[in-house]
This record gives sequence, structure tokens and C-alpha cells, in this order.
Amino acid sequence: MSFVARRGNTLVLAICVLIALPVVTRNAVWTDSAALLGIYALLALSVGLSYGQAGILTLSQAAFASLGAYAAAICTVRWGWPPLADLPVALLLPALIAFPVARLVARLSPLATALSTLAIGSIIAIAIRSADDFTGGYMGIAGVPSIGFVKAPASYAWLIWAMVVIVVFLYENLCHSAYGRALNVLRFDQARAAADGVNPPMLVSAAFAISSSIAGVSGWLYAHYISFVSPESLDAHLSISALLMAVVGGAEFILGPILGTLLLDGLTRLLPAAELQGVYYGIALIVILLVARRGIFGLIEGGLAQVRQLRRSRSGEVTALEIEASRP
Amino acid sequence: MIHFVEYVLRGALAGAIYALLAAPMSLLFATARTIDFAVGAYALIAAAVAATIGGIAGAEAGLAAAMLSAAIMSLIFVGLKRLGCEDGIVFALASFGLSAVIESFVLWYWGARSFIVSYVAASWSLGGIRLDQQGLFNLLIAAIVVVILHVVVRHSSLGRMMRASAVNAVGATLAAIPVEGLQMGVYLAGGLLAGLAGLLVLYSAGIDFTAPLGLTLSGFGAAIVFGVGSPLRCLFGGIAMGVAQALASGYLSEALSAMTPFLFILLVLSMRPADTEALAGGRP
Amino acid sequence: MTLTATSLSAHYGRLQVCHNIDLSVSAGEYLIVLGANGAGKSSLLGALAGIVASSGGITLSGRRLDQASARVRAGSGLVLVPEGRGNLFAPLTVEENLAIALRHLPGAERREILSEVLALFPILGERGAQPAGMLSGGEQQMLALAVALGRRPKALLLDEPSQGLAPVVLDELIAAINRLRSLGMALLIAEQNVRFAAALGDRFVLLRGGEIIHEGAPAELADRRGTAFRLMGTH
Repeated sequence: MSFVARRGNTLVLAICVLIALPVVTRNAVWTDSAALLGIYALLALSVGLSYGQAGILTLSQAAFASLGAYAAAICTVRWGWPPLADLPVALLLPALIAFPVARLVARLSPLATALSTLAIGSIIAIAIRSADDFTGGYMGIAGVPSIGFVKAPASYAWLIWAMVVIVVFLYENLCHSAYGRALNVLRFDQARAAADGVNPPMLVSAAFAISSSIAGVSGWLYAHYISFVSPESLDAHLSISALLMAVVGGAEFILGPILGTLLLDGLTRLLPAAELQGVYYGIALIVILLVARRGIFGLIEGGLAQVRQLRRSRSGEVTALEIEASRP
Repeated sequence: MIHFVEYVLRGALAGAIYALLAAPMSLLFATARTIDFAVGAYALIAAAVAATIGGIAGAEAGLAAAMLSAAIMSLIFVGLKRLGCEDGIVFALASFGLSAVIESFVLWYWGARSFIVSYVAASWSLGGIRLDQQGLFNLLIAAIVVVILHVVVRHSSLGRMMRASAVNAVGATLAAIPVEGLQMGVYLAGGLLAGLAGLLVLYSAGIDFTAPLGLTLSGFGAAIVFGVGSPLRCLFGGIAMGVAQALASGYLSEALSAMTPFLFILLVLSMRPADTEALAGGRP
Repeated sequence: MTLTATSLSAHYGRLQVCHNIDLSVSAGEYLIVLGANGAGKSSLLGALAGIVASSGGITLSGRRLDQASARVRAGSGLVLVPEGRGNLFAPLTVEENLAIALRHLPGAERREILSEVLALFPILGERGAQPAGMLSGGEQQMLALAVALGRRPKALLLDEPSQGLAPVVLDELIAAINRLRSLGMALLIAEQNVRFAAALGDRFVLLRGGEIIHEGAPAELADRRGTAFRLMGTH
């Protein structure tokens, strides 16, 4: 029972995917949307881990994703590696960059850290764009092969969403581990965490590195699915979009970023003009910050807490802690 | 040698724009402990409106558009504050939202074109080094603005109140200082200066809808190089960054030149000089 | 009565910390609010000054202020010196701190008040160009008082002025606060230092658990086995 209860998010997600994907994959356009949504959901999840759990407001996730994508493209197209052999590279390369950078900036104020991630993201993007011989410069790399056994778009949609479920499963395990609990303490009380023998910068940096790996996987999937990468594929604006998705859904909740992705990106596909995407994202973010700072999941949780408190207050006193917990 | 001098001078001229963006950023950080990521977008909307209408009227309309956008940001800021938010990162996030809205609006209304208007194409020659008059004009404007700001912050009652609310908001309220009004005013001033920077970019190198993020970051880099908190340092910071960029592009590569603002930011933040402590501190 | 509070409660969110407090201070009177840590002294003063949410009535010289913002209350002459000299701006110089306090006054009046304040606290005249944060604890408390006086308060609220001061400095401070009697304002001092309170107050109220549980005259505080000590819970 406890195993199931501790993996509630994974189960909910897995059930939703199992119900929705068979229906969605009957339509070619929907299948494509589902695959892309899954890739963005992974990116938003990586923001959730970094911002929601470790408190690093990250603006470099798209850059880490493009590292993953270029790793896939270069390994398979340039060096002729067999598919799947490039996955470890896509996982490790972003982490190898993210970790030392985080070690450098994780002691800074949240605002300064956010700016540093933006800076490192931009540096990666410029490096990719200007290493012509290696990355194809502005032209990018075309003809990335598919991942062996997966060829049809529908199979990609399944593979991508299976990846999302796996990441959520690992993420949930992480949250319940000693490491995850330490991260949680850290978010509320740095001094307490340090007094408990936790090394805050180390912990935060590790979380940032893992989050960059998740972004790397999303880039890896992107490259193999679209079969083409260029500097424009995963640019800085996507970093911001991923952040907005995570915040709108609720960055500190495991499924928040996925909900945010579905809402923001899913609904964008219904917009009259694609150029207006930013208007829609931006307004959604501002409204969410004003109405429910902890995102849609936070709103739901706040509502539930209030119901519980109402019941309690009928029977007796309300504690200050509960009032604190019920604040939006 | 002549090349070196030329790079330095050209870089200094280019850095003037960064100083204009940096000054309001450091003021906002000083008074509200947050960053307005939308300053680049204010510059963009000012340039777009000015280019469309043209002439002096266009410049005025551009500045008005930038200030209107900044006014929206200041309202969002006050709204968040009234709802009990004191977290600088949330205000910064909201400004990202506004920046996305403005960029996307420009893209939708004007398309992906770039805006450029050239009034002064002439240049002066100084011992074999060509300096374009527009660039010198930009530097002059930036220097004037920065000196005015410096005098206001250091030697006026308004500046005293701003510095007071920055260090002790409760104390400032008790001293009947309109803290929120001051902070809104700084957001608006940011709109005005960013709008001005947008116009100068429009008249020099040109601007398109992808520029805001880079402009914001360059401004931020210039604001922190010599420590936040003083407009004069922003001018030197802007010039230093412009020069570094020009030297990198002249002697190393275009890519390194483009990376310069970001390397500046990483370097400065990781070295934590005493004056960036306020920004850098916060985690034990 | 200069300052009256009727049935005043202070809140943090839905948590009430002071309950139905009635008190009044007349012009020239010094009232001490005594209480141990956590008794609700700072919350009471904060509620009066408008920086802590409150319900109930507050009037200053007959003017109702309970609905007014902290800024308006400060502007009307209800002036708080928060705990730890929280009305000072540490990086600003002594002169700048005073200039902020006096900025709303016309030039002649400003000079008049400034010389008045410097006569009360001569040490501040010597420290003019130093940042407030560089002064000693006692000097900072003097500056905090001077800044508050610059607003020409009708009622002055002092939150633990004795905090962190050495006994010698404390005596100077008592003398300085006693010199203010000539200004004829109502003074409300929150304290837990009984010696300090006894030396200053005309009257005291005792706060515990956010309620006034005892009132009395300073003479009572001389008896260490008296009611006041017993109720305060200090032995």
C-alpha cells in the first residue's frame, strides 16, 4: 500500500497516458502534437526539479536540451554511432556543464543564480552556433536517424510519454528519498539544513545537474523524432516557455509542470496566430502569479486545505500552522 | 596599435547603450531588490513605434509606448505586493511574462523585420580612426543621463528617500516615505531610459524582435561589473563591456564577442566583489 | 487624552496576538508597557503605528486613526521607534537620516527643530557625516529618538529602547528621555527592563499573553516580591 501511495503521481500519470494516447494516436496531427508535448513536458519537468525543489530559477533548460539534441545528432550522423549509444552522452554532457556552473553560483541569491543560468544558457547557444565545422552552424544537422526499433510517429509518441512516466517515477522516488527530504528542508530553512550536516551548495548543484540531464533527454528525443537540429530548434525562448509552463502548473508539485505544459502548449495550438504565443504565455504567467502564486496545483491544494480547515474549525481551534499552510 | 585604439573607442561608443539600460536596473535593484527583465522589451517597443511613425513625433510616441509598458509592469508589481508577495524573484518572473507579451506583440503586429532608421550617417576622422557621429551622440546622451541620475540619487531629497527605502522599508514607511510610489517611479524611469536606449539602437545598429533578452542581459552585465548601486558605475560598466566586446571581436572571434556580456555576468557574480554582495548574498 | 486605544487587537493573518486592549496616555505623560518576551508589547506598538494589522479604535488628539495607513499615522504625529532602532537607515549618514525626518518642513522650522534636537543630543552634532550604522548602540538610540522627534510627534512610541545597551549608556538614555518632558508629548514605552521602566514611567501597565493584567505606579516596581514582578514571571 505504502509503495502505491508513495507513487501516486506516477500512477495518475501512467493511467492518464494509457487512456489518452490510444485515442490521440488515431489522428496524425494529434500524434505529432502529443509527441512534441511530451518533449516539452520533460523540459518543464526539468524546470520543476530545479526551481520547484532546489530553488534555482533556471533559464538554461533549452540550452541543455540542445546539448542533448546535438549530442544525438553528432554521435549518429557525424560519427555513425548506433542509435541508443548516444543516450548516455545526451544525459551526461549537460550534467557535466551544469554541475560545475551550479557549484559556482549556487551560493548566490536566487536572483543572481537565475541570471547566471541565463548567462550559461546563452553561452552554450552561442558556442553551438559558432562551432561551424562541428555543429553545422546556422544550418544545423539534418538526417538524424530514428531510434532503431521506433520509427512511426505513433511509436515516438509512446516512447516519449513512456520516458515522461519514467522520469516522473524517478522524480517521485527522489522526493521520498533522504536526498529529496534534505532538499525540502533546504528550501524552507537553509541554516537548519546546514546545521543538520547537509551541504547546501552541493545538494542544490546535484539537483541542477539532474535537471539538466532531464533536459538533455528531451533534446535527445527531439533530435531523433524531428531528425533535424539547428540553433533555432531549441532556443532561449523555449527556456522561458518551459519556465512559464512549470510555474503556471505549479513548479513545486511533481505533476505541476506537465499540467502547465498541456494547458499552455496544448491551448496554443488552438490560437489564431502562432506569433501571439508569447502574448498568451506571458498573460497566463502574470495572471497565475497574481491569482495563485504556487500554480494551478497550488490552487487545488490550497482549496483542499481550506476545506479541511473549515471542518476542523467547526469542531475546534485552528492552529497558526494550518492557517499558514492554507495561504495561496 | 591603431587598431587597438579604434576598437577601444568604438567599443566605448557601443557601450553607451548598455549604460542606459544598466542605470535603471541598478536603481530598481537598489529600491525594490528585484530586476525588471522587460527593459529590453521596452527598448524594442520604443524602436518599433518610433520607426513606424518616424521623425520627432515617432521618437516621442516610442518613448510613450515604452513608458506605458513600464507602467503596466509597475502595476503588476504593486498588485503582487498588495497580495502579500515580497519575493524579488516573483517580480522578476512577472517581468519575464511581460517581456514575452511585448516581444510577441511586436512579432505579430510588425512581423520579423528589423527596425533601423539612419539620420546621421556622417563620421569624423580622428588620426585615421573613423568615429560615427551617431555613436558619439549616443555616448553623450548616456553620459548626460547618468550624471543627472547620479546627482539625483546622491544629492537630492528624492535620492535620499530612495536609498532609505532600499535599506529599510519598514523604517521608510514609518518616516512617511511613499515607498511603493517611489518603486513605481523607478519602474517608470526604467521604461523611459530603456525607451531612450531603444531609440538610440534604432538610429545606430537597428533592432529586431529577438533583441530584448540580449539587451536586458547586456544592461545587467554593465550594471554589476563595478558593483550595483551607483549610476556612474553603470556608465563605466557599459563602456567596459562595450570595449571588451569590441576587443574580443577584433582579436579573437565574433562568437567570443557575443559571449562577452554573459561571461562578464558569470565572472562578476562568481567573484562576488563587496558591492554585489546584496545581490550575491542570500544563501548561507 | 492625547492617545487612546479602545478594545485594540493585533493580528498576524488570522492569529490574534493582542486582545481588546484599552489604554490612554495624556499629554506629557510617560506610560510604560511592561512584559516579558512574547507578551505582545511590540505587536501592540506595531498595531498602534499601523505596521501590524489591528482591529479596534485608535485616536490621537481626538482624531480617529485606526483606518489610516502607517504613513498617514506617522504624518499625523503618531511616531514609532521600532525595536532595534528600526527607524534608522544604516548606510545613510547622521545628517541624511535627520534630513529625511525633517524633509516635509519649511526651511526655518527645519533649522529650528534641528538645533532643538542637537541641543538635546549634542553628540549627534559631532557625528554628522558618519553613517548611522557606524555609531555606538547608545548613539544610535539617540539618533533614533532625534529622528522621531523631527516629526514633532504628539505621541511617541518607543519599542525597547534599552535593548542591547550597557548600564552606563542606559543612565544617559534615561536622562535624555526625561529631558523630553518639556516637549509635552504622550510617550508610550514598551520595556522588559524593570529598572529602566521604574526610572522613567509615570504609570505602567503589565502585558501578558497579549492582555493587560495589571496596572500600577512605578513605586510598586521597587518591590521585587511585589505583584508586578510575580505577574511578569521574572524572579
